[in-house]
Amino acid sequence: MTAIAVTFAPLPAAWLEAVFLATWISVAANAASVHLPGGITSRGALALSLNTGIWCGAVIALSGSRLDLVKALPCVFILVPAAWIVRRHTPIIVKVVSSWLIAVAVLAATLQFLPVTPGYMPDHLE
Amino acid sequence: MPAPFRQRLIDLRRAALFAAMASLIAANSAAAHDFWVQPQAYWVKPQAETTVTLQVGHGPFRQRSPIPLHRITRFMAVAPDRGVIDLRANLHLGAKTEDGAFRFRAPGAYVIVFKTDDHAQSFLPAIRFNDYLNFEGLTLALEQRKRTHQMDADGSENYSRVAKSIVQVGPPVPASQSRITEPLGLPLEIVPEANPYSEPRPPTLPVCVIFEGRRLAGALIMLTNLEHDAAPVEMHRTDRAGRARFKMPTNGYWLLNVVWTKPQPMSRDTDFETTFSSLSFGFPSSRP
Repeated sequence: MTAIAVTFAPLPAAWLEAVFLATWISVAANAASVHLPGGITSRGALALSLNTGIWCGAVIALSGSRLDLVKALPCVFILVPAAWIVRRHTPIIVKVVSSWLIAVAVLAATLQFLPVTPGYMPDHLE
Repeated sequence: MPAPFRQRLIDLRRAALFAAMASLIAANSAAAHDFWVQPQAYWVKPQAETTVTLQVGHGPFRQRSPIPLHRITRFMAVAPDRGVIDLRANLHLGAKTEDGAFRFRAPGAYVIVFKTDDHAQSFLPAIRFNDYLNFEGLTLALEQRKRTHQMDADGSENYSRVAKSIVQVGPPVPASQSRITEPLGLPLEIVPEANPYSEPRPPTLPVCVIFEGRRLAGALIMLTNLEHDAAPVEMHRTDRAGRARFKMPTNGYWLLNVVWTKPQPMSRDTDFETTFSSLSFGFPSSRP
Protein backbone atom coordinates (compact mmCIF):
# COMPACT_ATOMS: atom_id res chain seq x y z
CA MET A 1 0.00 0.00 0.00
CA THR A 2 2.85 2.37 0.84
CA ALA A 3 4.52 1.63 -2.49
CA ILE A 4 1.28 2.30 -4.36
CA ALA A 5 0.81 5.61 -2.56
CA VAL A 6 4.38 6.79 -3.21
CA THR A 7 4.18 5.78 -6.88
CA PHE A 8 1.66 8.57 -7.38
CA ALA A 9 3.88 11.18 -5.68
CA PRO A 10 5.42 13.84 -7.98
CA LEU A 11 9.11 13.24 -7.19
CA PRO A 12 11.86 15.34 -8.82
CA ALA A 13 13.84 13.40 -11.41
CA ALA A 14 17.06 14.63 -9.79
CA TRP A 15 16.34 12.34 -6.84
CA LEU A 16 16.81 9.20 -8.93
CA GLU A 17 20.36 8.35 -7.84
CA ALA A 18 19.59 9.08 -4.18
CA VAL A 19 16.43 6.95 -4.35
CA PHE A 20 18.35 4.03 -5.85
CA LEU A 21 20.94 4.34 -3.10
CA ALA A 22 18.25 4.42 -0.41
CA THR A 23 16.55 1.42 -2.00
CA TRP A 24 19.74 -0.65 -1.91
CA ILE A 25 20.37 0.40 1.70
CA SER A 26 16.82 -0.72 2.50
CA VAL A 27 17.41 -4.05 0.79
CA ALA A 28 20.54 -4.54 2.91
CA ALA A 29 18.72 -3.51 6.09
CA ASN A 30 15.81 -5.87 5.40
CA ALA A 31 18.15 -8.75 4.67
CA ALA A 32 20.26 -7.97 7.75
CA SER A 33 17.18 -8.09 9.98
CA VAL A 34 17.06 -11.85 9.40
CA HIS A 35 20.29 -12.13 11.38
CA LEU A 36 18.95 -10.33 14.48
CA PRO A 37 19.18 -12.62 17.52
CA GLY A 38 15.63 -13.56 18.47
CA GLY A 39 14.22 -12.16 15.24
CA ILE A 40 12.58 -8.82 14.66
CA THR A 41 9.67 -7.35 16.64
CA SER A 42 6.29 -6.60 15.08
CA ARG A 43 6.98 -2.87 15.29
CA GLY A 44 10.37 -3.33 13.65
CA ALA A 45 8.81 -5.40 10.87
CA LEU A 46 6.15 -2.74 10.30
CA ALA A 47 8.80 0.00 10.14
CA LEU A 48 10.85 -2.01 7.66
CA SER A 49 7.83 -2.70 5.49
CA LEU A 50 6.86 0.98 5.45
CA ASN A 51 10.46 1.92 4.58
CA THR A 52 10.55 -0.69 1.81
CA GLY A 53 7.25 0.52 0.40
CA ILE A 54 8.44 4.12 0.31
CA TRP A 55 11.61 3.37 -1.65
CA CYS A 56 10.04 0.81 -3.97
CA GLY A 57 7.31 3.30 -4.79
CA ALA A 58 9.87 6.05 -5.32
CA VAL A 59 11.94 3.91 -7.74
CA ILE A 60 8.82 3.06 -9.72
CA ALA A 61 7.68 6.69 -9.71
CA LEU A 62 11.04 7.89 -11.06
CA SER A 63 12.18 5.19 -13.43
CA GLY A 64 9.43 2.68 -14.07
CA SER A 65 5.79 2.44 -15.00
CA ARG A 66 2.93 1.78 -12.59
CA LEU A 67 2.60 -1.64 -14.19
CA ASP A 68 5.83 -2.45 -12.32
CA LEU A 69 3.76 -2.51 -9.12
CA VAL A 70 1.89 -5.52 -10.49
CA LYS A 71 5.15 -7.10 -11.65
CA ALA A 72 6.65 -6.61 -8.17
CA LEU A 73 3.72 -8.26 -6.44
CA PRO A 74 4.84 -11.88 -7.03
CA CYS A 75 8.15 -10.99 -5.30
CA VAL A 76 6.22 -10.62 -2.04
CA PHE A 77 5.36 -14.31 -2.22
CA ILE A 78 9.00 -15.17 -1.57
CA LEU A 79 7.90 -14.85 2.05
CA VAL A 80 5.82 -18.03 1.74
CA PRO A 81 8.71 -20.46 1.09
CA ALA A 82 10.91 -18.45 3.50
CA ALA A 83 8.35 -18.84 6.32
CA TRP A 84 7.98 -22.53 5.50
CA ILE A 85 11.75 -23.00 5.69
CA VAL A 86 11.94 -21.17 9.04
CA ARG A 87 9.09 -23.34 10.41
CA ARG A 88 11.08 -26.40 9.37
CA HIS A 89 13.84 -25.16 11.73
CA THR A 90 16.31 -24.65 8.88
CA PRO A 91 16.56 -20.84 8.96
CA ILE A 92 20.19 -21.08 7.93
CA ILE A 93 19.04 -21.27 4.30
CA VAL A 94 17.21 -17.96 4.65
CA LYS A 95 20.25 -16.47 6.35
CA VAL A 96 22.58 -17.58 3.55
CA VAL A 97 20.31 -16.11 0.88
CA SER A 98 19.98 -12.92 2.96
CA SER A 99 23.76 -12.65 3.20
CA TRP A 100 24.03 -12.95 -0.55
CA LEU A 101 21.40 -10.24 -0.90
CA ILE A 102 23.31 -7.95 1.47
CA ALA A 103 26.46 -8.42 -0.62
CA VAL A 104 24.57 -7.56 -3.80
CA ALA A 105 22.98 -4.51 -2.18
CA VAL A 106 26.24 -3.17 -0.77
CA LEU A 107 28.02 -3.65 -4.09
CA ALA A 108 25.20 -2.05 -6.06
CA ALA A 109 24.96 0.87 -3.64
CA THR A 110 28.69 1.59 -3.74
CA LEU A 111 29.20 1.06 -7.47
CA GLN A 112 27.69 4.42 -8.35
CA PHE A 113 30.41 6.17 -6.35
CA LEU A 114 33.29 4.35 -8.02
CA PRO A 115 34.87 5.57 -11.26
CA VAL A 116 35.76 2.01 -12.26
CA THR A 117 33.72 -1.07 -11.51
CA PRO A 118 35.69 -3.41 -9.22
CA GLY A 119 37.15 -6.28 -11.18
CA TYR A 120 36.45 -4.61 -14.48
CA MET A 121 39.43 -4.15 -16.74
CA PRO A 122 38.90 -2.09 -19.88
CA ASP A 123 39.37 -4.19 -23.00
CA HIS A 124 40.54 -3.41 -26.54
CA LEU A 125 43.30 -1.07 -25.38
CA GLU A 126 45.78 -1.64 -28.19
CA MET B 1 27.74 -26.12 14.77
CA PRO B 2 29.70 -29.15 13.39
CA ALA B 3 32.90 -28.11 11.63
CA PRO B 4 32.17 -29.73 8.20
CA PHE B 5 28.75 -28.07 8.10
CA ARG B 6 30.29 -24.70 9.03
CA GLN B 7 32.89 -25.09 6.26
CA ARG B 8 30.15 -25.93 3.74
CA LEU B 9 28.27 -22.83 4.89
CA ILE B 10 31.35 -20.63 4.39
CA ASP B 11 31.88 -22.12 0.92
CA LEU B 12 28.22 -21.50 0.06
CA ARG B 13 28.48 -17.86 1.16
CA ARG B 14 31.65 -17.37 -0.86
CA ALA B 15 29.96 -18.85 -3.93
CA ALA B 16 26.94 -16.60 -3.47
CA LEU B 17 29.11 -13.51 -3.13
CA PHE B 18 31.11 -14.47 -6.20
CA ALA B 19 27.89 -14.93 -8.19
CA ALA B 20 26.63 -11.53 -7.07
CA MET B 21 29.89 -9.83 -7.97
CA ALA B 22 30.05 -11.58 -11.34
CA SER B 23 26.53 -10.52 -12.24
CA LEU B 24 27.20 -6.93 -11.23
CA ILE B 25 30.48 -6.78 -13.13
CA ALA B 26 28.82 -8.19 -16.23
CA ALA B 27 26.03 -5.63 -16.01
CA ASN B 28 28.52 -2.77 -16.06
CA SER B 29 30.90 -3.99 -18.73
CA ALA B 30 29.63 -2.10 -21.76
CA ALA B 31 32.05 0.66 -22.56
CA ALA B 32 33.32 2.29 -25.70
CA HIS B 33 36.40 0.80 -27.35
CA ASP B 34 37.29 3.58 -29.75
CA PHE B 35 40.77 4.56 -30.81
CA TRP B 36 41.72 7.84 -32.38
CA VAL B 37 44.54 10.20 -33.22
CA GLN B 38 44.27 13.33 -31.11
CA PRO B 39 46.31 16.31 -32.37
CA GLN B 40 47.07 19.00 -29.84
CA ALA B 41 45.10 21.31 -32.17
CA TYR B 42 43.13 20.60 -35.33
CA TRP B 43 43.71 24.07 -36.78
CA VAL B 44 47.37 25.01 -36.85
CA LYS B 45 49.63 27.58 -38.41
CA PRO B 46 51.96 26.61 -41.28
CA GLN B 47 55.32 25.34 -40.01
CA ALA B 48 54.04 25.08 -36.44
CA GLU B 49 54.95 21.82 -34.73
CA THR B 50 51.90 20.07 -33.36
CA THR B 51 52.00 17.05 -31.10
CA VAL B 52 49.62 14.10 -31.26
CA THR B 53 48.54 11.44 -28.83
CA LEU B 54 46.98 8.08 -29.56
CA GLN B 55 43.87 7.78 -27.45
CA VAL B 56 41.64 4.87 -26.57
CA GLY B 57 38.42 4.52 -24.57
CA HIS B 58 35.98 7.07 -23.26
CA GLY B 59 34.93 8.71 -20.05
CA PRO B 60 36.73 7.25 -17.01
CA PHE B 61 38.40 4.66 -19.26
CA ARG B 62 39.99 7.15 -21.64
CA GLN B 63 43.77 6.81 -21.78
CA ARG B 64 46.83 6.97 -23.99
CA SER B 65 47.02 3.81 -26.06
CA PRO B 66 49.84 1.44 -25.06
CA ILE B 67 50.16 0.16 -28.64
CA PRO B 68 53.75 -0.86 -29.53
CA LEU B 69 55.50 0.66 -32.54
CA HIS B 70 55.87 -2.61 -34.43
CA ARG B 71 52.09 -2.90 -34.73
CA ILE B 72 51.72 0.43 -36.51
CA THR B 73 51.75 -0.15 -40.26
CA ARG B 74 50.92 3.33 -41.40
CA PHE B 75 51.23 6.82 -39.96
CA MET B 76 51.15 9.43 -42.65
CA ALA B 77 49.49 12.59 -43.81
CA VAL B 78 47.73 13.15 -47.10
CA ALA B 79 48.46 16.69 -48.18
CA PRO B 80 46.09 19.02 -50.04
CA ASP B 81 48.13 18.48 -53.22
CA ARG B 82 47.53 14.72 -52.77
CA GLY B 83 51.12 14.13 -51.79
CA VAL B 84 51.78 11.62 -49.02
CA ILE B 85 54.00 12.55 -46.09
CA ASP B 86 55.30 9.60 -44.07
CA LEU B 87 55.13 10.47 -40.38
CA ARG B 88 56.35 7.20 -38.88
CA ALA B 89 59.73 8.71 -38.07
CA ASN B 90 57.88 11.33 -36.05
CA LEU B 91 56.40 8.77 -33.70
CA HIS B 92 57.82 8.56 -30.20
CA LEU B 93 55.30 6.40 -28.44
CA GLY B 94 54.99 6.63 -24.71
CA ALA B 95 56.80 9.96 -24.36
CA LYS B 96 55.71 11.98 -21.37
CA THR B 97 53.11 14.14 -23.06
CA GLU B 98 52.78 12.96 -26.64
CA ASP B 99 53.10 9.99 -29.01
CA GLY B 100 54.31 11.92 -32.02
CA ALA B 101 54.41 15.24 -33.78
CA PHE B 102 53.97 16.78 -37.22
CA ARG B 103 54.78 20.02 -38.95
CA PHE B 104 53.20 20.98 -42.28
CA ARG B 105 54.54 23.73 -44.49
CA ALA B 106 51.84 24.40 -47.08
CA PRO B 107 48.41 25.65 -46.02
CA GLY B 108 45.35 23.51 -46.60
CA ALA B 109 43.50 20.56 -45.15
CA TYR B 110 45.57 17.47 -44.32
CA VAL B 111 44.29 14.04 -43.44
CA ILE B 112 46.43 12.22 -40.90
CA VAL B 113 46.12 8.48 -41.44
CA PHE B 114 46.94 5.82 -38.87
CA LYS B 115 46.66 2.07 -39.28
CA THR B 116 47.73 -0.97 -37.31
CA ASP B 117 48.04 -4.64 -38.14
CA ASP B 118 45.40 -7.05 -36.85
CA HIS B 119 47.61 -8.89 -34.38
CA ALA B 120 45.88 -7.49 -31.32
CA GLN B 121 43.65 -10.09 -29.72
CA SER B 122 40.74 -9.81 -27.34
CA PHE B 123 39.33 -12.68 -25.31
CA LEU B 124 36.21 -11.90 -23.32
CA PRO B 125 33.76 -13.94 -21.27
CA ALA B 126 30.47 -14.61 -23.04
CA ILE B 127 28.46 -11.93 -21.25
CA ARG B 128 31.03 -9.22 -21.80
CA PHE B 129 31.59 -10.22 -25.42
CA ASN B 130 27.84 -10.15 -26.14
CA ASP B 131 27.58 -6.75 -24.40
CA TYR B 132 30.43 -5.44 -26.49
CA LEU B 133 28.83 -6.66 -29.74
CA ASN B 134 25.53 -5.09 -28.69
CA PHE B 135 27.11 -1.77 -27.74
CA GLU B 136 29.07 -1.48 -30.97
CA GLY B 137 26.06 -2.50 -33.07
CA LEU B 138 27.72 -5.62 -34.45
CA THR B 139 24.43 -7.35 -35.01
CA LEU B 140 25.69 -9.71 -37.70
CA ALA B 141 28.24 -11.13 -35.29
CA LEU B 142 25.56 -11.47 -32.63
CA GLU B 143 23.26 -13.23 -35.07
CA GLN B 144 26.03 -15.63 -36.00
CA ARG B 145 26.67 -16.42 -32.35
CA LYS B 146 22.96 -17.07 -31.86
CA ARG B 147 22.73 -19.19 -35.01
CA THR B 148 25.69 -21.31 -34.01
CA HIS B 149 24.54 -21.55 -30.36
CA GLN B 150 27.66 -19.72 -29.18
CA MET B 151 25.95 -17.07 -27.04
CA ASP B 152 27.21 -18.75 -23.87
CA ALA B 153 30.73 -19.27 -25.21
CA ASP B 154 33.62 -16.90 -24.61
CA GLY B 155 34.27 -14.56 -27.51
CA SER B 156 37.59 -13.86 -29.18
CA GLU B 157 38.77 -11.69 -32.00
CA ASN B 158 41.77 -10.25 -33.75
CA TYR B 159 41.43 -6.54 -34.23
CA SER B 160 43.06 -3.66 -35.99
CA ARG B 161 42.76 0.10 -35.79
CA VAL B 162 42.24 2.66 -38.50
CA ALA B 163 42.17 6.33 -37.58
CA LYS B 164 41.92 9.48 -39.62
CA SER B 165 42.18 13.00 -38.36
CA ILE B 166 41.53 16.19 -40.31
CA VAL B 167 43.99 18.99 -39.65
CA GLN B 168 43.59 22.43 -41.11
CA VAL B 169 46.84 24.28 -41.74
CA GLY B 170 46.27 27.99 -42.10
CA PRO B 171 42.89 29.32 -43.18
CA PRO B 172 40.53 27.07 -45.19
CA VAL B 173 41.12 27.11 -48.95
CA PRO B 174 38.17 25.63 -50.89
CA ALA B 175 40.32 24.17 -53.69
CA SER B 176 42.41 22.14 -51.24
CA GLN B 177 39.63 20.17 -49.61
CA SER B 178 39.11 17.33 -52.05
CA ARG B 179 41.09 14.62 -50.22
CA ILE B 180 38.95 14.97 -47.13
CA THR B 181 35.89 13.75 -48.97
CA GLU B 182 37.62 10.92 -50.83
CA PRO B 183 38.28 7.36 -49.64
CA LEU B 184 41.94 6.65 -48.94
CA GLY B 185 41.84 2.91 -49.52
CA LEU B 186 41.73 1.90 -45.86
CA PRO B 187 40.07 -1.40 -44.84
CA LEU B 188 37.28 0.38 -42.93
CA GLU B 189 36.90 4.07 -43.42
CA ILE B 190 34.54 6.89 -42.53
CA VAL B 191 34.50 9.32 -45.43
CA PRO B 192 32.85 12.70 -44.85
CA GLU B 193 30.82 13.76 -47.87
CA ALA B 194 31.00 17.38 -46.76
CA ASN B 195 34.03 19.14 -45.40
CA PRO B 196 33.41 20.08 -41.76
CA TYR B 197 35.91 22.94 -42.15
CA SER B 198 34.31 24.53 -45.21
CA GLU B 199 32.69 27.92 -45.01
CA PRO B 200 29.84 28.49 -44.88
CA ARG B 201 29.62 25.38 -42.73
CA PRO B 202 26.86 23.01 -43.89
CA PRO B 203 24.09 22.30 -41.36
CA THR B 204 24.59 18.54 -41.58
CA LEU B 205 27.57 16.24 -41.82
CA PRO B 206 26.85 13.42 -44.27
CA VAL B 207 29.32 10.54 -44.13
CA CYS B 208 29.66 7.19 -45.80
CA VAL B 209 31.39 4.05 -44.57
CA ILE B 210 33.61 2.04 -46.86
CA PHE B 211 34.54 -1.51 -45.89
CA GLU B 212 37.04 -3.36 -48.04
CA GLY B 213 36.34 -1.04 -50.96
CA ARG B 214 32.55 -1.21 -50.80
CA ARG B 215 29.96 0.97 -49.16
CA LEU B 216 28.80 -0.66 -45.97
CA ALA B 217 25.13 -0.79 -44.97
CA GLY B 218 23.95 -1.35 -41.39
CA ALA B 219 27.07 -0.12 -39.61
CA LEU B 220 26.57 1.86 -36.43
CA ILE B 221 28.36 5.22 -36.51
CA MET B 222 28.70 7.19 -33.30
CA LEU B 223 29.48 10.88 -32.99
CA THR B 224 31.18 11.80 -29.73
CA ASN B 225 32.11 15.16 -28.29
CA LEU B 226 35.66 14.54 -27.11
CA GLU B 227 35.35 17.18 -24.43
CA HIS B 228 32.41 15.31 -22.84
CA ASP B 229 33.10 11.83 -24.07
CA ALA B 230 31.40 9.50 -21.61
CA ALA B 231 28.66 8.75 -24.15
CA PRO B 232 28.11 9.50 -27.84
CA VAL B 233 26.00 12.50 -28.78
CA GLU B 234 24.45 10.97 -31.87
CA MET B 235 24.29 7.47 -33.36
CA HIS B 236 23.05 6.36 -36.76
CA ARG B 237 23.17 3.19 -38.78
CA THR B 238 24.28 3.52 -42.37
CA ASP B 239 21.55 3.12 -44.97
CA ARG B 240 21.69 0.82 -47.98
CA ALA B 241 24.07 3.23 -49.68
CA GLY B 242 26.37 3.12 -46.66
CA ARG B 243 25.47 6.68 -45.70
CA ALA B 244 24.50 8.38 -42.47
CA ARG B 245 23.90 12.02 -41.64
CA PHE B 246 24.77 13.90 -38.45
CA LYS B 247 24.14 17.38 -37.21
CA MET B 248 27.24 19.40 -38.04
CA PRO B 249 29.22 20.28 -34.90
CA THR B 250 30.24 23.91 -34.71
CA ASN B 251 32.89 23.97 -32.00
CA GLY B 252 35.03 21.68 -29.86
CA TYR B 253 36.70 18.37 -30.71
CA TRP B 254 34.71 15.54 -32.27
CA LEU B 255 35.03 11.88 -33.07
CA LEU B 256 33.13 9.70 -35.50
CA ASN B 257 33.71 6.01 -35.09
CA VAL B 258 32.52 2.76 -36.55
CA VAL B 259 33.36 -0.88 -35.91
CA TRP B 260 32.88 -3.82 -38.22
CA THR B 261 33.71 -7.46 -37.90
CA LYS B 262 33.65 -10.63 -39.93
CA PRO B 263 33.96 -14.26 -38.95
CA GLN B 264 37.38 -15.81 -39.08
CA PRO B 265 38.05 -19.07 -40.93
CA MET B 266 38.10 -22.14 -38.68
CA SER B 267 41.89 -22.35 -39.05
CA ARG B 268 42.41 -19.11 -37.08
CA ASP B 269 42.76 -18.89 -33.30
CA THR B 270 39.95 -16.39 -32.85
CA ASP B 271 36.29 -16.14 -33.84
CA PHE B 272 36.21 -12.74 -35.54
CA GLU B 273 38.38 -10.24 -37.34
CA THR B 274 37.36 -6.75 -36.30
CA THR B 275 38.33 -3.32 -37.51
CA PHE B 276 37.84 -0.15 -35.49
CA SER B 277 37.81 3.00 -37.56
CA SER B 278 37.59 6.61 -36.47
CA LEU B 279 37.60 10.10 -37.90
CA SER B 280 38.46 12.99 -35.60
CA PHE B 281 38.18 16.68 -36.29
CA GLY B 282 37.84 19.87 -34.32
CA PHE B 283 37.37 23.57 -34.42
CA PRO B 284 39.57 26.30 -33.07
CA SER B 285 38.57 28.67 -30.32
CA SER B 286 40.28 31.32 -32.45
CA ARG B 287 41.54 31.12 -36.02
CA PRO B 288 45.26 30.33 -36.54
